[in-house]
Amino acid sequence: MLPITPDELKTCPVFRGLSEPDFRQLVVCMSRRYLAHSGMILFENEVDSDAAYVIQSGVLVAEMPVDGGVAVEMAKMGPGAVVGELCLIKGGPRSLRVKAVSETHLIRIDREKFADLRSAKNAAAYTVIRNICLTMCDRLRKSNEFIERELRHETPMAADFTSVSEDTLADRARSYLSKLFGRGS
Amino acid sequence: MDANRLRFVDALEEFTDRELELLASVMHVRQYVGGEHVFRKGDRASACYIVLAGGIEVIVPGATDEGNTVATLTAGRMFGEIALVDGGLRSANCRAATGGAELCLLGRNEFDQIFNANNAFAFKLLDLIGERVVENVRRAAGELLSVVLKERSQGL
Repeated sequence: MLPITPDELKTCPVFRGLSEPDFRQLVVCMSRRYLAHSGMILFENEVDSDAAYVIQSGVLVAEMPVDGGVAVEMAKMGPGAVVGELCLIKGGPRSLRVKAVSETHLIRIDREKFADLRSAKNAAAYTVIRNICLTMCDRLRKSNEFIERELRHETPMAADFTSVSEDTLADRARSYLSKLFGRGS
Repeated sequence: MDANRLRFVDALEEFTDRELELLASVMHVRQYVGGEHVFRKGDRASACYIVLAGGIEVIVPGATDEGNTVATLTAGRMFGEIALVDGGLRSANCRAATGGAELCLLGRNEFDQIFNANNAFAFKLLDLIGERVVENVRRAAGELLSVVLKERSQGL
């Protein structure tokens, strides 16, 4: 298996501000993962989170399985997207199933090994934590605004959706969900 | 402020006595009378807060002047840290409940100094804030998911 190099990750926002020596410290948490064809499951919903993933190539879809029915697609994710990064801060069950839409190459970041770096007060690991916090706070505010205004007060945010006024509330919720996890446009 | 007042704060239970003293040395205590606003939606974040006594109502402005009270925060609760992390604007009004409130404040400058320092204390604060962010993201995701699934179950 080819070693993972800093060049493969330097454009990913989660790793911004890290030097090459920082990457070398983090790479102990990383391995390669390959999903050979469409339909292969990366992880199921409700299972404990054990890793985050950076998509190098290919496309993944996040979906909610439905008993006896077709799963509801929530978001698609392409190259550069990070999947499941919250578990690097705090463990918990996966909220969605994620599977491949096409042949997909990923870099896996092991949660337990990353936690070991945090326990050792590794500055590079905390730069990653800080980047995740900064990114998520901005997305969270936008989602919260939608939730408060549209779900609690039923006041449409028309300005955000002037070109897609036919969208249902669920479509808009799905759009914000996608943005919340960094996969929306 | 007296570090002993931070010892009952659940969110700070992992902090050592020395770290609590350090935190207390840069925090300030302030009293709010009932109905007094701590901040309003759209304000630039200038501090994060811990409730020492009394209560804080979190209000989302709505069609009425009263707005919609979405939570009441009691002693030991931290709030206002999300907007402080990324320099954004407040997303709701926060005001003291009827009986007033006593808060301790961590100002923006002190927060930034701690947040940007690469030391064990900064890392612990990052752990704390990171967990709060994750909890909030998972709550928001859960609410959005439920809307999508509800509409699906109704066959829309």
